[in-house]
Amino acid sequence: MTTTGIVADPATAKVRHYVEKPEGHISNLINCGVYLFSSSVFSLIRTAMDAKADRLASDPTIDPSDGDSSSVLRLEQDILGPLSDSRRFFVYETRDFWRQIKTAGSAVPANALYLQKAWQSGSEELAKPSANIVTPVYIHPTATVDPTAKLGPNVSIGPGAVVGAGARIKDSIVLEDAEIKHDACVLYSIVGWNSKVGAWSRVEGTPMAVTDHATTVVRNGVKVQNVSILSRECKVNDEVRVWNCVCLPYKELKRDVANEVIM
Amino acid sequence: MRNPYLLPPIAVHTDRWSCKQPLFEVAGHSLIWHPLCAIAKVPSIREVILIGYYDESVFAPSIRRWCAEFPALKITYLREYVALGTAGGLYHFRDAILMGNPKRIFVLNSDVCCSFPLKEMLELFEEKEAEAVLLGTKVQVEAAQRFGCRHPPVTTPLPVELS
Repeated sequence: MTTTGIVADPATAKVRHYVEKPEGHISNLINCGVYLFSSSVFSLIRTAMDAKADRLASDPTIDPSDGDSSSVLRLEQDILGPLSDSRRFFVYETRDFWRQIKTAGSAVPANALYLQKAWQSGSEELAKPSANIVTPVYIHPTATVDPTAKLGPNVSIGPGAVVGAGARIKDSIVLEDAEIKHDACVLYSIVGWNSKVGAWSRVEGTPMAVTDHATTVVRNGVKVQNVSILSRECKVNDEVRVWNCVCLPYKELKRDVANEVIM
Repeated sequence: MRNPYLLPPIAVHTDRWSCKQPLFEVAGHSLIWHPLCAIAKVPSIREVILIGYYDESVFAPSIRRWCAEFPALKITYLREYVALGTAGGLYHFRDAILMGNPKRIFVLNSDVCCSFPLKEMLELFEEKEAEAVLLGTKVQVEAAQRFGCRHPPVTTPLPVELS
């Protein structure tokens, strides 16, 4: 949905040219995946469907059993491209935040952006700022957070989660019923449902610029997630460091790990 | 311009997570709640249709909660059994979508995190008497390459002259 280049007339916002997966650089204006159509869009889809049926019927190299049929139509390729040629097709350019949530790791920046938005709009749901709360922070009413733990910015603590004394959490999501023991540190990470992070342990990802849409970093020549993710019911023992790792459900980490997917 | 409809989730990728992606919680709410909240602020939107591959039971409890929270919206879920693409899916459910004769239809992908400036999109739509309005955003050149634009601007000239 976003592998596009849009060329719009700056004065009128009318889309001049819309290209899916362009070979060269066309524009750094990209499609956000949010559309508003008049109900006439259905006749356009119908036209595209007929055109595709003709194309498929006239091309003997296409195997009809590979699942492609004239009723499979993508909005980007099959509808928007043709629309930009002749129709009244416009782009509204937002200067506000935008992220695509492609992988679990992109939940970390999404969490930060929605928390900042809630904070700017004066949401009552967020934790009040204090010496140990660096806003914005969301703490579910049923979560238990020790007053000596320091949280934020950009932290969400889910229902029933427990955060022990002296813990430090920043740019992270702690999901339902997870437990962060005393003096543990969680940065740029997701702690899954019912997971446990031991005392004096560290679970860390890599900080990324907000404008950088990457969800991976290259470490020792290997592409890894830029966040650490503990899935459901994982356990990190005391004094263990987890760095840029994805830990699949029900695993116990007894030693330090870095740049790995733990299965 | 009565009741534009709107359909969020089409995107369902791998299920490596033991939670359905649109229901994953960030900032205290599921990913799909954030666009719903933006939708609820536009009075002319009356109905929301969610389209996805998940079993109906996955969304049922959440939909009950959202209906209570956003009483002005009628929220339903339609299950796609075959992947038809966004446009194919819209066409497949055209009768359900067009019931009540909406003049406008918002289409939102569920894997998007943004401020959803729906009112502004509606205003532009009105002003230009548009057939379609798309939300766009400018990203840095390096990031644009991630979204498919493979070369920096110096290597290829702009194919279209603006203004």
